Amino acid sequence: MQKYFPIILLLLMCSVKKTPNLKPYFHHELSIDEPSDICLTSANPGHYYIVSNRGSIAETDSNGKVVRHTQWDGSDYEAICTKDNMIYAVDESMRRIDIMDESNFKLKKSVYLNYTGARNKGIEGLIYLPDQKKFIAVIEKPAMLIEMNEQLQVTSQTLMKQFFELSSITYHDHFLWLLGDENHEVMKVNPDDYTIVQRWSLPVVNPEGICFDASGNLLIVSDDMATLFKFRIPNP
Amino acid sequence: MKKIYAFIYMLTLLAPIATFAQFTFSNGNNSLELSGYVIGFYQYRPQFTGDPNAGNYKKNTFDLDDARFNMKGFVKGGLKFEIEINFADIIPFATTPTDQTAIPLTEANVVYMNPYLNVKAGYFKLPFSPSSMMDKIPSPYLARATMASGTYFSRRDAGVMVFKDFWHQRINIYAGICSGDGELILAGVNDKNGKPEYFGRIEISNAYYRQEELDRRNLSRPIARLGADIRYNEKTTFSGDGTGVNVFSTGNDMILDGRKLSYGADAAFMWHGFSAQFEMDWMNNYAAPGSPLAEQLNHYNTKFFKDGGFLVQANYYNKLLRSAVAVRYDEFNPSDLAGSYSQNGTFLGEQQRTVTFAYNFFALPTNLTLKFHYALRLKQPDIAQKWKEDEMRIGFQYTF
Repeated sequence: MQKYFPIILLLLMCSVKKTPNLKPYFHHELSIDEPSDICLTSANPGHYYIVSNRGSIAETDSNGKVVRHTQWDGSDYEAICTKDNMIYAVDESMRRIDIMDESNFKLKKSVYLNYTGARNKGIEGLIYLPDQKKFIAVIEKPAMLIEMNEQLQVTSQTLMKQFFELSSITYHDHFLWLLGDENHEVMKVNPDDYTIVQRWSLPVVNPEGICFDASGNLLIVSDDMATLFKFRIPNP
Repeated sequence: MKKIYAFIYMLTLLAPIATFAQFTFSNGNNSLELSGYVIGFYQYRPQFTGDPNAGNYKKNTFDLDDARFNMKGFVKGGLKFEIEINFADIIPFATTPTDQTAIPLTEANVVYMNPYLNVKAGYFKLPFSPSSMMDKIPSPYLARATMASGTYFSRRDAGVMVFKDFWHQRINIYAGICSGDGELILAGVNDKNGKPEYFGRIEISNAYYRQEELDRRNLSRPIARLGADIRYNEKTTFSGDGTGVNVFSTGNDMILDGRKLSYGADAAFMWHGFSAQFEMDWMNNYAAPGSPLAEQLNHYNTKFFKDGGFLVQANYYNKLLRSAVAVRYDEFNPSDLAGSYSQNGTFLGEQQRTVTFAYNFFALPTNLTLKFHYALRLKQPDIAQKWKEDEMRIGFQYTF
């Protein structure tokens, strides 16, 4: 029996339950190069901010059409969120969070965040949780969650061994939603103990940004396809 | 069997030390990344009937192929720089400075990125032949195909290159000018005619296509890329074996004094863990009028001889098994004029054909990979004898 064990193990591994797929009901090719994260604007929940690791931030309408954008400055923006009418954009290479006025994209201040891992394996996603008055940033590989207070001081770093890698994060319907670009999947996660409640596979190459619109639809931006996708999450 | 399970289990225990492998230092406006890799292996070359190296087993040994240290710098505003050294090549370079495959400096360049036209200057890898452009780390093999080994065309040079992408990186265009002396420009080798080499490459794909041979992302959508490249060089002396040096008169070094036009085409594909690559590269070697080689070429009623070849490979990556398997067929012809004819009069040429099998086990998420590589040399059709010993390599690569 023992000699058949490797074969049985192989068959078991190949028969692991498949992650259900989501199908987009909408997609639009963006005019933004290398889009890497997305969030809703404060002033208009039908508009989105999309950052590019080519160094620009754009505001788009609900279909992904750019209505205004910053000038190219060489920054490597990989994550974005909003708080109190301010934009918080993360330059992954420089380990810097730029805080800008939403109304005119004017830079108010920058905060340096020390993280010594690989240059392109730094902060990939950022959210602000108003109820808990804290920011959560995700590190791609090894997957890690960094919690920060409102002054962007790090309060905890948690290695997430249950995730292969992470490319973005958002908060919706009392759950954290984590995105993995290499596994091209989205995971609904319990915010208290970080256990995975549910996961779906996305037919998207290199998904880098995630958020939900005001109607509860899942928005995903693909870096390699430079495309905005919209999905409906099925009811459990 | 229990020992194997215990070994795999121990490797998984190593996972926590795989975490902070590379280091980036930043002050908010400038950053510096330190990284590198080590590749070592045991090599075994079984000898064959008629082997010119019969009785000499010095190639059956442990060896260190790479001990690379890389520094990448980023300056706010779009300036980048990179310096990479392979410490494993320092002593071979000191003892044989004219071996273009053992130059320890592998990257030393500055790049200015901007929205209009990116510029790279310094010493860098040339955008010719994807299997040459491919770094060793994302390749499943422990040795490159014959034609892309750096012996037949230079893989790096000093010069200036401009590049730009269009349509969200689906189209990439490169063009530049370099010394034309290849890696040996760092050894002080230069040509008396002082003419540079020109090069260009274009790629088109249905989504951004990364420099990877394995589909380790298990892509849910197929992506494919087509490419073409060209180089033009004019020298009185070319470095390397791809000059026709030994083609027409063995033992009588014949230096190509003339022009070399190199051109290639390639295709690549990946989807759901499967990936495949095809590539062909050819070089037309034109002898300068009045040179000894030109006189020989006149006998063949041609102005040039051609060398080159092609490769095709298929790969499969399985994330659950943390493994990849790959097979590659490559064929190189050092000259379309040299070689013999079959009994029915078909020109056979000198075919250096190899089938290579590879297996990779990714012991740690990104850092440690165990590699098996077997290169099976096929017999030359005219003499029914292998052109070189088979080569088995069992090794590791560790990135930090």
